[in-house]
Amino acid sequence: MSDSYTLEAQARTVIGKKVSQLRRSGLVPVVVYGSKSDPVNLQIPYRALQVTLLKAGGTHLININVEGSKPQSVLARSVQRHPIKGEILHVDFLAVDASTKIATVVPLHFVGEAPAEKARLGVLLNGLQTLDVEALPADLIDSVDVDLSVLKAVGDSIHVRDLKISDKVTVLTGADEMVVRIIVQEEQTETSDAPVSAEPEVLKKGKTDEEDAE
Amino acid sequence: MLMPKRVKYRKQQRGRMRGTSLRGSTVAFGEFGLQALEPIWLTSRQIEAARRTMVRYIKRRGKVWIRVFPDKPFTKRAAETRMGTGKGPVEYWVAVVRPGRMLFEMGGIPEVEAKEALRLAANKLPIKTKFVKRIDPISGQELV
Repeated sequence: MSDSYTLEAQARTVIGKKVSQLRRSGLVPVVVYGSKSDPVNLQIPYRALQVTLLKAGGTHLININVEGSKPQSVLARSVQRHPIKGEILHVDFLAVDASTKIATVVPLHFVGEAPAEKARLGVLLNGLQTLDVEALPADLIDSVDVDLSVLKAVGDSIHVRDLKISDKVTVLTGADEMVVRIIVQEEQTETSDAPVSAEPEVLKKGKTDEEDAE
Repeated sequence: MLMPKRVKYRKQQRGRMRGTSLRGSTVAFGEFGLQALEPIWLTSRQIEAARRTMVRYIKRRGKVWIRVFPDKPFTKRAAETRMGTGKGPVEYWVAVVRPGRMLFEMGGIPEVEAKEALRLAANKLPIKTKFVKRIDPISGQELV
């Protein structure tokens, strides 16, 4: 958590549907909220925001400088993207207090290859992609490594309790939750199981066939 | 082929397909996906044809997820029938697909094979599609 990132922002008065004009001019509407402050609408140049988010992700603190007010430490909470182009449409930032623990989501990083999968005994089934954790802002971690080399046979699994995580971080996800497991390869059938000409059952509310024919 | 087991009403109005997909537009289960770039009513036959092509190509490896379900009945009047006398019988089932919708996902196989399998599947569909990878929702970085 030694890296720090800085973003220059301006106060935003444009809200609602008119923010599309902002986007056309190369700015992204963002909001900063927190438990100890009122929500503030800001705007940030697109490219700077994109680069910073790429590096900081959701686990690094970002310092937001706004003209006329003191810098704020924030965490990226939610990023709305265009469904096809992937462009950033809006970002939610959470203002953090250095002395208060915050809950966040940390991605799992899968390391190595499972011997069982390599030997084609089974396939790797992912149960979790992220972990919910709670920690002080300074103790937050970038990711949690999951060593796949212990998965040697079908049925072997890694649970949340097996992960090696710093003592300063509290895991909120249940300890018994499965992270990965080796399962027997299901035969993907080429033919469909469902009958071709079956009629779905109609619940009572609609017209019956007889009424419809009248 | 995919179709609902039970429905509340046998027939539906057609509706519109304006705008982009609001949900189901990211890779959520697998590592790679096929994303729709155009709006369409995807029939259960087209979904099945694409699925078969993928499964045939990857043989018994990996896993395939179908992210669309044909839950809209398509009705058609019988040939050479006069107008009136009500809506025609249900002919087949369609999934309403808006641009951005993730159609299929794959996991547990190398990228090259997933890309080829999804290309072959895309050939069975009457719309433009694109191959996408799983990304981190905050940073936008590819995770595969």
